[in-house]
Amino acid sequence: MSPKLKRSLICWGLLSPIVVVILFPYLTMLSTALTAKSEIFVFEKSWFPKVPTFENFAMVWTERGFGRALANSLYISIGATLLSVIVAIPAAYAMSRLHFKGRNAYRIYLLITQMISPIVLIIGLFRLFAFLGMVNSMNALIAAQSAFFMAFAIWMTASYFDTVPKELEEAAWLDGAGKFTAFMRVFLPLCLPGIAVTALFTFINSWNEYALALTLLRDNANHTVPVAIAFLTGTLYEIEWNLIMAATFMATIPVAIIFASIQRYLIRGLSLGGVK
Amino acid sequence: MRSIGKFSPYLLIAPSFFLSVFVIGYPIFDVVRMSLFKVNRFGKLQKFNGFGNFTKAFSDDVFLQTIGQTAIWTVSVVGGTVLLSIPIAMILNEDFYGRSVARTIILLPWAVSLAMTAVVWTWVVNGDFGTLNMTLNSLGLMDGNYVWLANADAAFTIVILIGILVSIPFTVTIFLGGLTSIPDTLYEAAMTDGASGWKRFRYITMPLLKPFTQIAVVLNVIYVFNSFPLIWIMTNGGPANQTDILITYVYKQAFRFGKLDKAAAGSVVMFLMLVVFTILYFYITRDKHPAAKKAKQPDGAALEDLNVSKA
Amino acid sequence: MKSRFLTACAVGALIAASAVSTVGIAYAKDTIRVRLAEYSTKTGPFFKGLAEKYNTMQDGVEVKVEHLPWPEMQQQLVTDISAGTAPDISHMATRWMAGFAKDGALAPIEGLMSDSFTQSFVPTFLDLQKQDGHTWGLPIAASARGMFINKELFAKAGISSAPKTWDETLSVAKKISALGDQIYGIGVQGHDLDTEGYWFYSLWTHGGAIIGEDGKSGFASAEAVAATDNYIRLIKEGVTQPGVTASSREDLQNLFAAGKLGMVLSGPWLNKQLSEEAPNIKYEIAAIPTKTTSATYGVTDTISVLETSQNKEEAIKFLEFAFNDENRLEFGKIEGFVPVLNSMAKEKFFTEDPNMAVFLEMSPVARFAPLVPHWEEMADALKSGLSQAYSGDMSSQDALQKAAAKMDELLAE
Repeated sequence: MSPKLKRSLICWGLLSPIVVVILFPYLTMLSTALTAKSEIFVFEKSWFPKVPTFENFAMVWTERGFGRALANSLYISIGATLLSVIVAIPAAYAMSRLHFKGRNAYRIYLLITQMISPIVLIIGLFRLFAFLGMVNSMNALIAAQSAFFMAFAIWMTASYFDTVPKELEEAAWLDGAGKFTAFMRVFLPLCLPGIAVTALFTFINSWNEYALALTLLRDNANHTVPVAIAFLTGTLYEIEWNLIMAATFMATIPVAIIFASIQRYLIRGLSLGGVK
Repeated sequence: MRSIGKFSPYLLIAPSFFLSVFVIGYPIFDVVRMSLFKVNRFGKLQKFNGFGNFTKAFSDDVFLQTIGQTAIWTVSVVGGTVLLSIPIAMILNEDFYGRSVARTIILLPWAVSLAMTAVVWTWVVNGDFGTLNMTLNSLGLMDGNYVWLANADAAFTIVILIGILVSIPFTVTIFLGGLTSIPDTLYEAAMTDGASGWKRFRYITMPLLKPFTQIAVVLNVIYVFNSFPLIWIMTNGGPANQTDILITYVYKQAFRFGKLDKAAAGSVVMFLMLVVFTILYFYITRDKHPAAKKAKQPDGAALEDLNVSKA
Repeated sequence: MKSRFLTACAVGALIAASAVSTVGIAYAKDTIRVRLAEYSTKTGPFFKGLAEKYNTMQDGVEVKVEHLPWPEMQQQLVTDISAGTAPDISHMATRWMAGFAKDGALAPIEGLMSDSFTQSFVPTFLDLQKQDGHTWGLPIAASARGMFINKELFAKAGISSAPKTWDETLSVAKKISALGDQIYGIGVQGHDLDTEGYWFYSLWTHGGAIIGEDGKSGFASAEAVAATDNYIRLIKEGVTQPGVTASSREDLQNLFAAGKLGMVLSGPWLNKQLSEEAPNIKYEIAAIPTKTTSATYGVTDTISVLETSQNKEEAIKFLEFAFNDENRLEFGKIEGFVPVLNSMAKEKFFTEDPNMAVFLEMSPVARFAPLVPHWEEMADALKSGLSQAYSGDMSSQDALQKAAAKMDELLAE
């Protein structure tokens, strides 16, 4: 047995308990999502429904407006990611490269913005956005989410900036490039992996965000995926597990695909040691 | 960048600063104000109440009980997460077949929102129809159905375990970032010096991961302390408030019981607790003897290039 | 540097633009916003249909229906009222109504309703919406509770008729539990929404009351302790489903639908679920077993006009339309509740279906939860006490006394 094969067996063996625990709910989701409603509450349960059905997926998609929710979630998550990254890059540059009075105070301020959960601010947030006439606006939700996600984006980007040697930019200045050109042409491209990871984190946070979306978007047509799924569980006298599982499974797939395709860059772009 | 004007750093941070002040500023003011006033169930101020709402909260047995439970919840989830994440990250940092698949699987819980995770697990642990009992029964590990959420200790253990599970992806990612930045040459040098596996872990991995551990602990404490959906959906704080934590308590006071003033006071207390924790934690884990630490490291010079050490 | 300043400006502009593009929220005066909570997935579409019909019938106003699930209802209503963006008409649980009315959120509607409209309601149900001399809403749904019996399990256990008393219930439950195969005699609820309601069945049939004659909490009266011990006896004898403190109303209903529960106390909506999910279950519905008194739990939900509405008269007109015979019959068919209109109480759909008629017959002995401002919190204290008593962590006496003390404290507020 080659050493790598042996190592692989050991590694997978050690990881197996956690892998099982992680995959267990996914299998449950898939199994329940493929089960017809009439077969859910029978006692002789098994992993495999007697007659697998895709009806639940179709039902969630067409009758319960899940497609609309997915589109809303995509719009909001992309918007929140863009806005967070756009405000984070200049701030991160300042935090990483420039020495100025109040830099530490700003670090602390950012940490503090993370300490308050949107849940305890629901009333105030709603009053603010209602006063501005921005309830039910997806763009308002983008701004609100970005305000909560931005601190993390700044830390991550700044600590990635820290890993890029100053000499590279300085060399570009010596070659006669302007500061901004040097930043755009030399510095930013080097930092792309870090920025991409930051964007991914923000995207996931936004994709899964519930409290703000529930508070600020009241119209059923504006619902995001987590809200739509929560609403599926909320009818009073019965809970349609088959539909909920189908919806949850569908909501997971986009993020899972993103993970699988970029996890290689994820680790490389992550450099969080300098965060605080 | 010496030529850049005095004000430019402020211009650079301005967008982020104003965005957060714009969104969070008024709501924070609103909560603090409500905590000092008597208000009706719709948040209308009635009269100044000084610290009356705080006294009221602290004279509520359930509130005090909830503080204790919040401590158990936060310490168990964060402790469990960090203890599990370090070995997992070390394994995922090895070179083995299927590593990218393994990494993707470990990150998977992150792909689902907490609310959905809670809903799915509620179904998994359902006593009569859930897949957990079904599987344990068919494997012969158990006979008959166990109702997992009926007993407070079992229910709390389950939500804590799920809390750990969903915190692992984020934490493992942080540690993996840290581990990949430790150059192999350091370990090779230590091996030629004859350092054992444990010694390498103790004297190379641990110190170099310290800043990452610090940040993983602080961020996880903040997120877990404030984590609402898992407990809310799975147990709703029950049975008999024995799985309530501060955030679910505050939410109940505000939106079930119509006591926005007491809820606001509770929110302020929560915030102060986090501030005190963070200050204490950074104070306790600060570098007491930076010079001594450096001397202990096998290859001090190599570290100079690593930005991780500056934290 | 200039360009970075521009970036900053651009971001600012972006935020401003998002603000400007969304001012369309200001609700026009001739719009009536109606918010409903969902009993089932059909509730929302049903009321949307009503609104559409109403909008084509007249030109005065446009009715817009928003619907959401119950668990989010209270939070959204509270935030909306606090920010001044409340709808004109809102659905709510009757138990929230007292607090909402006290804090000035609801409009008294007795002056806005025509006499014929007022008189069309079953008086018991409309009276429940009154407090301090005002009518704060209309009973949009009402239910009474009964005992659902699985006839097949009864036959297997050799029992011919439904138990009339709690003592009989125990012996019947024992026989059914003895069938084995994870079959349980009777369901007892100990978790989540309406746990207190399940206890009221026992409280009232033992002669207890929620508020005693002295105006204080009746949670810890001798009758209340006996009522609690009644359930604890069932639990200790092992004739209930396991894990009472984790069993919600839905869990019990699902068990009954799966044919694993001999008896369960529930309301008319369960008929709907059974016909859809378990059409093969043979069941009947009996009165709630008694000790000293015969009783059932009557529950209504309320639909109110909000104080901030600019269009109260028009709002009532729409409600009058929603409560006409045709629409109420349709609603009854969809959701399966007890009729709240006098005319509907004689309607064949309700009287001829034995599974509905039984709830109508029990209505005269129905009791209701009190309309006091902090009822939610009192019920929560009771729920905590009950789960401690059911689990055996505390004696029923101590657990109830704790809940009663909390209730008295809240009554005094």
